[in-house]
Amino acid sequence: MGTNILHEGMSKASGTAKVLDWLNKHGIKPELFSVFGDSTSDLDIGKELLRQNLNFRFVFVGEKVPDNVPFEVIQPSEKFDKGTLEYLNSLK
Amino acid sequence: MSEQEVRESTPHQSEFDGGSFTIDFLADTPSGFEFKTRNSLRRRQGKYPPGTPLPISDEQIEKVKAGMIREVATAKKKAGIAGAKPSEITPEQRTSYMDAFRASQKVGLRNVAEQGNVLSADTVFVPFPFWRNINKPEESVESLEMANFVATALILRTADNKLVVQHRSTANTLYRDIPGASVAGQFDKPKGTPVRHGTLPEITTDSIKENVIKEMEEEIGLLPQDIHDVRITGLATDKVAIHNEFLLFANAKLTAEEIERKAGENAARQNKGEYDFDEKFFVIKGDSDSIRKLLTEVKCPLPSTHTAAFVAAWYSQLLGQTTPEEAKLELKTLEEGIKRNYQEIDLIVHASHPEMRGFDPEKTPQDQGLPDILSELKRTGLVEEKDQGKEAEQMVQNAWMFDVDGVLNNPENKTNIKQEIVDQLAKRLEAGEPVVFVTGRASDWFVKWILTPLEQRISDKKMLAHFFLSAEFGNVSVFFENGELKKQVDGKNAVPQDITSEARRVTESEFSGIMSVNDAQTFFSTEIKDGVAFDRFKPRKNR
Repeated sequence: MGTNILHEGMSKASGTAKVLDWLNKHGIKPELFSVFGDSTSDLDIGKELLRQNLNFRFVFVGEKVPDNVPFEVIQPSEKFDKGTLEYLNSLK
Repeated sequence: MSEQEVRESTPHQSEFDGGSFTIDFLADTPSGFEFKTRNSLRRRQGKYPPGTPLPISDEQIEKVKAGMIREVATAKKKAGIAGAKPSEITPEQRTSYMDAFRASQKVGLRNVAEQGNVLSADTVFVPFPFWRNINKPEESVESLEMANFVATALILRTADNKLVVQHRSTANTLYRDIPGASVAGQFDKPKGTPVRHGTLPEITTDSIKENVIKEMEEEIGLLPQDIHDVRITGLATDKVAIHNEFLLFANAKLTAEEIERKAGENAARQNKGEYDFDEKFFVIKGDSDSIRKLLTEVKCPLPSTHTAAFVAAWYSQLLGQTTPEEAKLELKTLEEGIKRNYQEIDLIVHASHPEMRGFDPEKTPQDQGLPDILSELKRTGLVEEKDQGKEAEQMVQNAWMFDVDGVLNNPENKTNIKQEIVDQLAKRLEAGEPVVFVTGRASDWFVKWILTPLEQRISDKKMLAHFFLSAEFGNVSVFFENGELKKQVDGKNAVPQDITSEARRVTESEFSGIMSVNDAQTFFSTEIKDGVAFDRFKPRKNR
C-alpha cells in the first residue's frame, strides 16, 4: 500500500504494452496469457490484453474483486502469494 | 588407392575465393554432385602408428582431454545416467548414451578429388574437442589434419520462391546473432557398420543428405516429405575456423508462411546443447539481386561457409537460366563483392576494437561495432515493409504475467519471497515459457529480492532468455541478452525532479514513521513500511 506520483498515462497498461512489444520483437506468440494481480490497478493489465485482442485468464489474489470488471476473474480461496501458489499448484 | 598414394594427391585449386572461405568444388550441373568414400581411414590415418605421438602440443592435448571428459559427461546427462553405477544402467539408457556420445564424433574428409559430377574422398572420424581446440589457420598443417571435420549447410527455396535465412541465436556458441544458411550443422558420425574396425561407416550422397535433413527437422521442424530435389552443390573450406562444409540446395513443397507455422510449432520447446542451433528465421526473395545484397551489402555477416552455401545455390539456379560461361562471369563479380564486403566488415570491427583483426563469429555483431541483423535488413530493403523487424513467430502455449506486490509476496512482509514461488517461476522458464512481470516497483528491488533467487534456482542460464521485467510502469525494462542482464530506462515519461524532491521531503518529514520512499528512477513512489499494521496506516491515510 502506498502512493505514486506518475506521469500522465503511466499505469499497469503502459507496463503491459512494454511486455507485449518485447514479445513481439522476439516473435514470441503465446496462445494464452495467465495474469496474476491483487489490486484495482492490476486490472489494467487485463484491459490492455483485452484491447489488443489477446487470449488471457486473470487470477485475482487480492482481498476483494472490484465491481464491473470487463472480463472474467478467477479467485483462489487463499489471498496474495498463497493465492498465487494455490492456483499455480492446481495446474498440471 | 592406398593411404600413401592418397596423401600424395595434388592440391586442388579452388573455384571461388571469398576471402574468409573458398569453394573448392562447385557443381556445374543443376543436379549437383554425387559423393563416394574412397578409403575409410583410421583415426591416425596411417601416419602415426599407435605409440607414436600425435602432431599436437601438450597444451592442446590437455584441452582436448578436458573436452572429451565434458563430452562424456554431457552424453551421460542426456542419457540420464550421470552418477549411475554400471550395474544400474538399462540397455535403453546404454543405447541412448551411445547415440549421444556418437554425436560428439564428427566426419572428416581428406584428399578430396573430383571426377565428372562425382566427389570422392577419404573419410576419418574426428572427435569434436579436437576441432574445438585446433581450428585456427596459424596451427600446423599436421595438427589441422587431425582436427578438421566437415559440416553441412542447406539453402531452402520455398514453394513461393523465397529463401529461408536463419537468424542465429544470441545463445549460439559458434555463430552469435547473425544470419546464416537455412539449415546447418556438423556432420555427426552416422549410424551403421564401420568399413573396418576403428573407421567410419561408408559416407555416401545419401548419408550427407540425411545429416542435413536431420538438422532441418531439429531446427525448423520440416520433415523429409516437405522438401524435394535435395542436391550437393559444392564443398567449401572455412579459412577462419578451419573446417569443410558440404553445400546443399533443396526446394520446399511449402510456402514461406507454411514453413513459418511449422517452425513456430517446432520451437515450442526443444532443449538444445550449447553447440546446437536453436534459431529463428526470416525469408528473402529468391531472386539474384536479393542474394547479392545479402552477401555483398549486409554488414552483419553470415558465417563464411554459409555464404558459400548461398553462392552455390545461386550458381545452381543460374545454371538453369544461362550458359556456363555467363554464369562463371557473374560468379566472378559476386566473388569480388563478397571479398570486399568481408574486408569492409573487418575494417569496421578493427576501427571499433583496435585489438581485433577482424570479425569474430563467436561474438555478437553489436559487441564488435557492427549493426544488428534487423536494422541491416531494413537498410538493404531485404525484407518487405510489412515484415520488417519481425521474425518467424515462435508459438508458445502459455505466457505467465505477474504483478509483484501482493502476488509474489504478502503485503505485510514484502521481502519474504517463498521458495515455492521461486520454484514455480523457474519451472515455467525451464519449460521455455515467457515469465514476465508488470510492476510499479523499482527494478533494483526486484533484482535483489526476486531475480537473484530465481537465477540461483535455474541451472541452464539460457532459460532466462524468456524472462522480462517491466518495472516503473514500463519506464524501466530488465531482460537477458547473450546471457547478460540488461536494463533499459525510457526517460520520456519521467516525472520532473522538482516534484519528486518535494514529495520526498513531505514524506520524510511527516510520515517517516509509517511510510518509506522507494528508489524509483522515473517517478515518485512511497509505500507503507514493512511491519506497519494497516490499522495504524489508515487514519493517517484519511487525513
